[in-house]
Amino acid sequence: MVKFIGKRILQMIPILFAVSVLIFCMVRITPSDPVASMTKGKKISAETRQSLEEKYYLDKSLPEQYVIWITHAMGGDLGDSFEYKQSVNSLIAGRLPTTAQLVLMSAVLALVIAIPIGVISAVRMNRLTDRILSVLTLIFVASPVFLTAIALMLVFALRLKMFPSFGSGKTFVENLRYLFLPSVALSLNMVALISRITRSNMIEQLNSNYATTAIAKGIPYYQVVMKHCFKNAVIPVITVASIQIGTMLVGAVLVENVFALGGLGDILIGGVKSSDYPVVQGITLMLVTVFLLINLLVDIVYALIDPRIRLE
Amino acid sequence: MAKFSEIFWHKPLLPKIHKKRQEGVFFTAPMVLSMLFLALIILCCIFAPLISPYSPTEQNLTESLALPSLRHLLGTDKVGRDLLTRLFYGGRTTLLSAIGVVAFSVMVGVPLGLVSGYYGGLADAVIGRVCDVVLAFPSLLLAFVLVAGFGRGMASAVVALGIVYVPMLARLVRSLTLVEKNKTYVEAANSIGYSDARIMFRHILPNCVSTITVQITLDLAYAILDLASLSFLGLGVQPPTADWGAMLDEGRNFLLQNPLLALAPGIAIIVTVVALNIFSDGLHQYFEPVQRKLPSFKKVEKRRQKEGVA
Amino acid sequence: MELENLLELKNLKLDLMSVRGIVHALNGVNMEIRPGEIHGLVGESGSGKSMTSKSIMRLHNEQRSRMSGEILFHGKDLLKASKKQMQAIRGGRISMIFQDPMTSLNPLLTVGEQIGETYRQHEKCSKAAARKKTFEILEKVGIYPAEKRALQYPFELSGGLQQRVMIAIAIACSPDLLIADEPTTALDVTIQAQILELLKKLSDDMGMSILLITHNFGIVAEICDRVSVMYAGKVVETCDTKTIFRHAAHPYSRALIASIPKTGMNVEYLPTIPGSPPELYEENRACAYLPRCPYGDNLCELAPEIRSCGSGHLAACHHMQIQNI
Repeated sequence: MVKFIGKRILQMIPILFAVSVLIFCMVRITPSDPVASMTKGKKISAETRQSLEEKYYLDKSLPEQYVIWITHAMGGDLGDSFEYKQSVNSLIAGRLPTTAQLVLMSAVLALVIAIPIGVISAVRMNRLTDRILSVLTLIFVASPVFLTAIALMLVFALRLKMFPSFGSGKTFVENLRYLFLPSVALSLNMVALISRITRSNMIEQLNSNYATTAIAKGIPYYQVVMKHCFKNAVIPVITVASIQIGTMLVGAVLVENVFALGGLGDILIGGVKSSDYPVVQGITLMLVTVFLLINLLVDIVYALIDPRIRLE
Repeated sequence: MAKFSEIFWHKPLLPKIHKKRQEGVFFTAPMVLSMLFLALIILCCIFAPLISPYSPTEQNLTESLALPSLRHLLGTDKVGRDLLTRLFYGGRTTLLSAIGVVAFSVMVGVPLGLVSGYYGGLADAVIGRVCDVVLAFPSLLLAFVLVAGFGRGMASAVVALGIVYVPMLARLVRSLTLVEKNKTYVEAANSIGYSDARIMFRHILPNCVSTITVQITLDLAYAILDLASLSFLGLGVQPPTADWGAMLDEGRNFLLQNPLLALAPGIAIIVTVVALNIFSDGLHQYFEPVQRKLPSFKKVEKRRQKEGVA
Repeated sequence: MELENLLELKNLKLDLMSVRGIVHALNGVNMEIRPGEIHGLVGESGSGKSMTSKSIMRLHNEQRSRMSGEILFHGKDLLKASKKQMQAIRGGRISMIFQDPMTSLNPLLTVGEQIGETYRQHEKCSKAAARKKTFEILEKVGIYPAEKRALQYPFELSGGLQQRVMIAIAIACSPDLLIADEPTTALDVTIQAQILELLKKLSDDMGMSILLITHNFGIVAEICDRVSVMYAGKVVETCDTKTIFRHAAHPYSRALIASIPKTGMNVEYLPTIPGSPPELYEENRACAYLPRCPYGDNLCELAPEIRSCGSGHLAACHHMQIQNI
């Protein structure tokens, strides 16, 4: 087991390295003048310019800049923002809790809603319940996450005034209310996807030989579904869901935008628009790392649940 | 003896050879419906100037934020532009760029997948690792970074998403090629001395086309969604042109005055994507009928009776 | 009948819905299984052997299948039994083992759990009692040490052991009938013999009938008391094992037996049956074997009923007297 985890972590390192190179190169592919974006176009003396360039290592060659950035990043320092005049670390630290809570709430919500839906439509395959559920999920798959967010906001925040329409609270508990609509919006998309996968996995398991054996043993059908097929069907679903968390991290950017939550998404998009390299690089690198770590975690959980991997 | 007539009357000595219906039915009800919708949307977009008397960009401040009426079926936006007209023109941008995204990913991804699957070895390893790195990004996040590099605008959004879609397609083609590679017809082509390129593109590729087509229609749907997201964040199309995503972004500021400004482009997206999804599903079932839902006994017997009568 | 039958199939028909239309998988199966006997069911692949066994347990998807006729078990029609009654019968009075033990066992539950579950389902006992019973059964089917094996997962066992576990599950509640659907096909030859021996022993010890489905006449000769031959969804001949090898009445049975390779046989010539079994998409009033039958004539345009042609010997052919020397 330890060997397995170690191997997976070792595999991650070259990918992270390549990712960091890719991020760095992509962000700087077009030569633009970062100093101009720092000073918002104001004219500055050659000396100030030089000191700014020195401060942000812009006078160095690109490979050198990369080495400086990545060595600092490995030490946990993502550099300083051009625009906000503070370190990327503190920017992230201020906004991460909101984003993390949003994603967490949506993920939990999505799994809690999606898996039962998937199981029910598998058991009622091709009957009316299944048809209705599959039409609904199809619509939610097709609905962009920001549209769902806007629709929810229109109905529940602006018309019914049940929830705040924008902003976020200070504490976790306060945020449960502020983040409720955003997380519903973010999760609906995922509900659709996960329930579809759960359905098809479940159908496959229900048609499997061991399910037939279980029925032939005289086990009641619902028990065959819940005890025998459920675990086998849900394990791969969790893997897919973990990959979807990556999509959710990005979806969070869109939802934060709609509800003006002031999470990571705002500064990331702001950074993309204003060529604030350190912010874009830093946040992207962090998100990719988180994404890869989640995948790793899921692989480990997978191994713990499935005896075939655990005992090898 | 009386039964002889009965005996001779009925069946020929050899049972008929049952015709194999390997391919499924193409024109199923959902398929027809989805194609109708898609055709309608595409025609509206193509003939927008003929259908609508208004210009998509000309401003008319006297009619700012008009509610739906006979003059403006869906109302107008903040600067008095007809929403329905803008929807048609927005559809043009959306559909064209989505097609651009898919075309880019096909042109890059399919050859990569073929080479990777056909040659294996080093080429496969290199392509595989590159795909791994791209797939390490949550899909839209990479598009953000690429747009940051290329600069904002529809062209860079299209290329960025095109790049994001390449690895999935390349992997699909690779796995298909691995299967086809070992079939006899490839061996035969090899023994005749055809070049590798000819075998890959003229022999293997046509055998993968059905699966790739299904994937492409689905990718088209995803491309519409992702492009809308980019435009919504202001990273895609730049004003005064607008695609559906950008229109949604503009419209959300007037949710209380005229919610249609945000909802109409949204519904356009949903309808198009749903139709594409159903179309893709239908194609899949047409190519692989095993996936099809089976009819009930009653239905089949009714159909048989009808055929018997007719 | 002089003996009371444990299981009696009367004109059992089964239609299945497939992508290519309705398949008439079973076209009126008639079969009797007596208490304590090992009854072989043989035929080519696609002749409906497995379909028959699944029908007895009513394991077909209810939406995609349709059955008619009678399945009399202890004189009661299983086709009329309620879901609850069926559940009690499955695994309790009739149980089943399958061809591929690897996929027929749940990969995520231990061997012990899967055996104990059956026992608890039918006997409604405590966990401890079920555990004790589990060890007992495991030893009965020759799995030692039971305590250790019970905690293992199916993938940790060899194919032979997996099939023994399947048998253990099947006999947990001492059923009256065990349906074994090609139980040895996926196993090595040496292990095949062991599994057959085990089945024979269990049948003798517990007085349990076994319906053994196979396409291998060697297995039939080895352990079966009586045998039924299936073709195109019908039983075409039933008799005891000795008779089938010496005086098979149906041309199909004779052809099947003639095509068994025997030691000392002229290897250059191995008789085969020309053609292939019919596809069962259309209802056919003629004898299904007609296109391949050397004796076929106008009479065969109407399928023969199965009838007696000797003591305990039934066959469905218009021309069996001619050959039954």
